[in-house]
Amino acid sequence: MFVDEHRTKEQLEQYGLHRPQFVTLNPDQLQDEKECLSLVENMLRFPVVAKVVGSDILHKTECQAVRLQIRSELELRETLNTFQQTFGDHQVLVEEYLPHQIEFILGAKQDKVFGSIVLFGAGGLFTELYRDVSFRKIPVSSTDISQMVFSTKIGRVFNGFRRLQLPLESIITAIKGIAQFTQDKKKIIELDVNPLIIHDGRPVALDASLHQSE
Amino acid sequence: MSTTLSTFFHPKTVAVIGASINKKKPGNIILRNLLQSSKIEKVIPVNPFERSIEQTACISSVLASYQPIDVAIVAVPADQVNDRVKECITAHIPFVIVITSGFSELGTEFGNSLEKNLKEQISQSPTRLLGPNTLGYYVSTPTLDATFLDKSVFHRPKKGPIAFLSQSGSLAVDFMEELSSRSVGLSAFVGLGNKTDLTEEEFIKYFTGDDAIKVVSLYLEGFSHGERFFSLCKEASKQKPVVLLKGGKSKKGSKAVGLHTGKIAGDYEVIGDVLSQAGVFEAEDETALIDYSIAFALSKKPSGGKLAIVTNGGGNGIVAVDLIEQRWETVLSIGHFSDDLLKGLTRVLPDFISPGNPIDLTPQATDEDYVTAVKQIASSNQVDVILVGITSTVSVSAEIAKHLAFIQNNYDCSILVYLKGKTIWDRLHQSLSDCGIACFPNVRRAVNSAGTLVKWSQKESYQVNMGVH
Repeated sequence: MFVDEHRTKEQLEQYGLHRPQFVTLNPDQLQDEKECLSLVENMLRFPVVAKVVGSDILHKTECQAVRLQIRSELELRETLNTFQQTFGDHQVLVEEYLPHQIEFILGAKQDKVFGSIVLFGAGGLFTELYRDVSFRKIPVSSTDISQMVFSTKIGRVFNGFRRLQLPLESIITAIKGIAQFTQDKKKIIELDVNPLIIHDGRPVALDASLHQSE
Repeated sequence: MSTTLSTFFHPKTVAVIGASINKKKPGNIILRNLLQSSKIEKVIPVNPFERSIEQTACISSVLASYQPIDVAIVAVPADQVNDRVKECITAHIPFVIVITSGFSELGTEFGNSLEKNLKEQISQSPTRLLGPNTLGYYVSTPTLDATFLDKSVFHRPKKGPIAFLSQSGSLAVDFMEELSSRSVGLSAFVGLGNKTDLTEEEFIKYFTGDDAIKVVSLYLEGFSHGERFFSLCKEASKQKPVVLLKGGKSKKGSKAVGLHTGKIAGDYEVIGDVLSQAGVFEAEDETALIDYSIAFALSKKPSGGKLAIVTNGGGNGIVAVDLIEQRWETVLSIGHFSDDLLKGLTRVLPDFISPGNPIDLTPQATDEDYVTAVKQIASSNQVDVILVGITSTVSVSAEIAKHLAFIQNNYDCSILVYLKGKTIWDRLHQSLSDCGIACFPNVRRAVNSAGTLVKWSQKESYQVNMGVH
C-alpha cells in the first residue's frame, strides 16, 4: 500500500528530515474558497506550491496534480478550482516554495540479496536519466555515508564546488534518518524522498512517497 | 567425527568412488592426481568391479574400508550419486566432494530432483558436501590435488599467498594457469560447484583465519545468503584484501514497485556499492581478478596515492598519466618532485636525461640507470608508489628484479612494473615475481592495479581525510 506525501513527510520529520511550512485543505474545506484562501494567507508566504494528495497519485507531475510557483491569491484560486474539477474529493497540500539550487534523491528499499538498502544521488525529474546515485546496506556508519556521498558526482557539493558548499553533516543526518526510519518501520518496501534539498543548512523533503506492506 | 575444514584441507585418507581404469575418465585422472599428492597418506580407489587401479588396491565400497576415510571424492554417473553419498554418510566420512555434473545446473526437472534428494540427505547428517558439479579442490605444498583435470591441461601454481574460490571450473583453470605462468603462488583453490551444502561462507571464514593466506580471491555468480556474505566480507577485509569478480549482474531492476528508488536500483549498481561498503575490491573482468590478486599478493600496502613513473619510453609514461587522470583521479596523483630531488636525479643520471615526473630514461637506459632513479625517488619520501615501465630493450636485465625488491623492502614505497613487449616480458617477469615485484604486460593493467592497491590503503585513512568521526 502507498502512503501519501503528507503522511510520509509527517513520519520523516521525526527522523530529522524537515518539511516546508504547510497547510492541508480537506475536501470539505475546499468547498469554501474564502476559508481556504485565508487559511493559506495566514499561515504561509507566497510563492507557494500546491499538490493533490492521495495514495492513488504516485507521480504527481505526470498527472498534473502539482503546481509550482503560485505567486498570488488569484493563481492559488485558479489552481484549487482546477484540482477540484480534475481530482474531486482529494486533500490538497499547500507548501511554501523554498528556493534551492540542487535537488537530491534519498531512498530506501528491500533488496532481494542484501536486505534493506539506502540510496543517495542526484534528484529531481531527471534522476533516472542521470543515474548519478550510490547505494549502501543498512545500517550505515558516518564513514559509509561519506563514502556513499563522495562516490557520486553530485556529492562533491558537500566538499565545495565552485562557490557552492553544503554542510556534509546535513546530508549525513538525512541519510542516517532514512536508514533508521527503514529499520524502525519494518514494513517498508520502498521509500523515495525526491527532491530533497538543503535549506538553511538543514535537509528538507520537498516530496516523499512510501510503499509499505499491508 | 570431525567436520572442521581443517580435515578437508589436510586429510590423511582420501577415497575415490568411481575410480576408473580408463585414463581419460575423471575417475582415473583424479585418482592419479591424488596418488601424486604429497599431503595424503593413503588414497583408496573404490570400484566393485576392479581389484586394483593404478597399482593401488580397490575396495568395493566405502563401507568395506577398515580405516577411517577423511574425504571421499564421488565420480560416478549422476543417477548413482545419491546412493554412493548415502554410503559415505553411513561410513561417517566427514567430507564428500561430488564432481559429477547433471544436477540443478541443467535446469531440468530430473536434475533438480536429484539435487534436492542430495541436499536432503546431507542436511540430515553431519557429513559436509562440496558440489555437485565441481572441478574439485587443490592445496599447494604439501600438495593435495583433488581436481579431475590432467596436469597436461593446466600447470599447477607454486605455493603462495592467494586463496581462490570459484563457482566456475573454467575460470578456475584460467586463474591457476595464469598464476603459474606469472610465477605467483597459490595457497588453495576450491571449486564451489552448485553449492548444495558447503558454500563460499565456510571457506571465506576459514581463509580469513589462515595467516598463511594474504589474499582471498573469489569468482561468484550468486551469494548463498547476501546479508551473511556481506558481514563475512566486512570481517575478512579488515584482515586481508578480498577481491571478487561477480558474474551475472543483471540490469533488471525491481518490477514490482513504482517508485524511483526501485527503478534506479538495478542489481548491478546495488551489488557494486554494497560490496565496496563491505571492503571488497570488485574486479571488472577475469583479467583484473588475476591482476589485483597478484598486486595484493606481492606488493606492499602503499602509504598514499602519490605516484612516480619511471620509463624508458616517454609515450607509455604519457599513456599512464592519461589513464590515471581518467579513471583514478580521486585515488592516484602524479607526485610533485622537489627541486632537491630533481637536482639529485640530474647529478646521477646521464646528461641527456632531463628529470621530471614521469621520468623518461630513454631507450638506452640500463639496470643501473633504473635502479639509481628509483632509489633516489624512493629515498626522497615524496611518492608512495613507483610505476616502473620497461619497453622492449636489450640494456635491461633480469638482475634489475632483486634491486627493485631491495628498494621496495627498505623504503616506504610500493613498486609495480609494466613490461611492454613479449621479449622483455619473457626475459624479466619471472625474476620480478620471484623477488616479490608485481609486474603486468601493459600500462593499463599496471595502472589499474596501482589504483586498486592505493584504494586498499585509503580504506583506513578515509575517516581522517574526510573529517568524519
